[in-house]
Amino acid sequence: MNENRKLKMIVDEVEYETYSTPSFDKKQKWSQPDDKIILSIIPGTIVEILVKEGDKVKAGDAMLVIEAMKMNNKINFLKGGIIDKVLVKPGDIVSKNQELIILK
Amino acid sequence: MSINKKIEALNQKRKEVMLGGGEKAIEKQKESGKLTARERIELLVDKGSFNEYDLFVQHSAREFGMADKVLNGDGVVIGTGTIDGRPICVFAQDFTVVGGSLGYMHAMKIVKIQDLALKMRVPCIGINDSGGARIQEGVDALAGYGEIFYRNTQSSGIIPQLSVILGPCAGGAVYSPALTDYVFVVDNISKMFITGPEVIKTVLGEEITQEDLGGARVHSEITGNAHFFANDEKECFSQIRKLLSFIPHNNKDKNTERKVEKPVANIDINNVVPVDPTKPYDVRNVIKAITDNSDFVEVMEKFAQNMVIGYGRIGGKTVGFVANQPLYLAGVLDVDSSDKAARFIRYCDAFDIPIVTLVDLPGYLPGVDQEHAGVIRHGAKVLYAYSEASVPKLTVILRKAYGGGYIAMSSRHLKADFVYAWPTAEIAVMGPQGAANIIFRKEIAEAADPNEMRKQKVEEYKERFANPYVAASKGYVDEIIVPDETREKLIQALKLSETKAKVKTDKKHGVPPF
Repeated sequence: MNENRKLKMIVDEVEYETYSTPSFDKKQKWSQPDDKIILSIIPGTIVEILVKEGDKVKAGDAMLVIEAMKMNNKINFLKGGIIDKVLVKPGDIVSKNQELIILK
Repeated sequence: MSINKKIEALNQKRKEVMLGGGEKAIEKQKESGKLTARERIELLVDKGSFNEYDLFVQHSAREFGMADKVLNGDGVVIGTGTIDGRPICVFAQDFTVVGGSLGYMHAMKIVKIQDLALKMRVPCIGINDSGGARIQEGVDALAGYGEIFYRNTQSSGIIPQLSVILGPCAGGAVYSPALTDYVFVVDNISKMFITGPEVIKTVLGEEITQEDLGGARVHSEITGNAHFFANDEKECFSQIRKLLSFIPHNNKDKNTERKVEKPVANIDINNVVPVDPTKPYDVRNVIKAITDNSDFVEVMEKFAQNMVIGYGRIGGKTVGFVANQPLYLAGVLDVDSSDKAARFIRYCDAFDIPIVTLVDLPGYLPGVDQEHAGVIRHGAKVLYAYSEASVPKLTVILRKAYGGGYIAMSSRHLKADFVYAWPTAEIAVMGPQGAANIIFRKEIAEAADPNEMRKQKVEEYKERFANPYVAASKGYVDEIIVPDETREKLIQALKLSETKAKVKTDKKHGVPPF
């Protein structure tokens, strides 16, 4: 066995000596989502940005348009606030969960 | 024309068609490290046993200038042969003929051999090497795939269906293998994905190679789409032949029994499992110590390695093993290992293969990722599969069997027929540390030295409950046995189970937590 793949696993307060697997290595640590950072819910290309830094927005306002699978998807704000930063521009290709806009 | 002339003409025609896409295309196939469709079939079946059907079938495309094109065999070879003297049906896509693309008649050839396999109750083996749908044939190509998928599903549980991925298998084409029982992949040759790297790059801007996206290793280690990994095509075909020497060739086939052979591996079974439940070991050594010839055909060796599944013979009879593997992730149940075990259990049940379960697990894998990935519904598959299975179910509890993990792993309560435990077994609601901390919370908190008190209480709990005797006192375990008695006990239980009653119900089918 490869000693680099050694793993201590705790189940019900008992620590077991064991080894890791490729899927287990890929696992990502979970963190509390920050609702001031707006992430892309789908991958695609930014077509249009409908707000600018400093704008005051409320829930339901249109934020931007993402083209994905040949469809233009208008994305709305789920929560209001003041726009601190716009991190993308038209033409950018974004992946799922990429940061798009930061609220103050 | 004389008969000799006619024979000569036939032979000439055969020769022409068998050249597939022509010498140039064959050369290209070889350059990419691949064998041709007919060479592959020769490696698969017994020498000289292959009969090819539909050699002279022609494609039916009329649009886009296709009408005048001749595509030899329409890009697929079908026929029958034998493996170790037993008949099988096979199709092999011929990449040298327009990239093995699937048109309507190509699909109808595959469908013909699928129908024959189901009618004759023999295994169906599909060798996939195709660029995908033949776009010129439009919706007819889609119809072809649909007809294949339908037959895959209808044949499921009646005959074994094997898919061998020896080239690209992309888009809709991946779903035929996904519906079959065993998928074989070869390093650097097999490529399977729904959308290829080009589309991913355009849509997502992510650059990835075909190999990293859907190569043989990815499907063997990460996705769980493949069941057998080989380094080259030759090894792949010998894996297929070996698997088919263990499993029944249809759901009524009783011809799997072979001469009894003793285990040959030099393993002292009484000392394989460390007494300390936190120490790892390779559960495959237990399997090899009890199987005939120490032979074990492991299925999905590199995927969800915390669960080991596969076939071996005990006293000449084929059994399916389901075993927790303490060597990886302490042998926990998680999303992937549950999925892996559940499907295997259902396969064994469909084909009347007795299931031998070897238990040693601390429970379910804790973590946000597991909860969010649906470990509840995936874990439920194991409970469902064991509860539903009516084949003989033999359980050996090797060491720890805690909590929900104990229940799930073919416990008496899910109607295991025989439950054995080794003296090292610990059948308890949870590990001693956790249990003592809950039960003696007050005593520990109020003690002058809480740590000392905790240690003492854990020891007390271990002494009383970390053993097989509590479960045995309630009849949940039938026999506590010395490890080296295991093989003989299983042989006798298998003999007794041969006449196990089959309970008929009037339900159409259950609704498992797929």
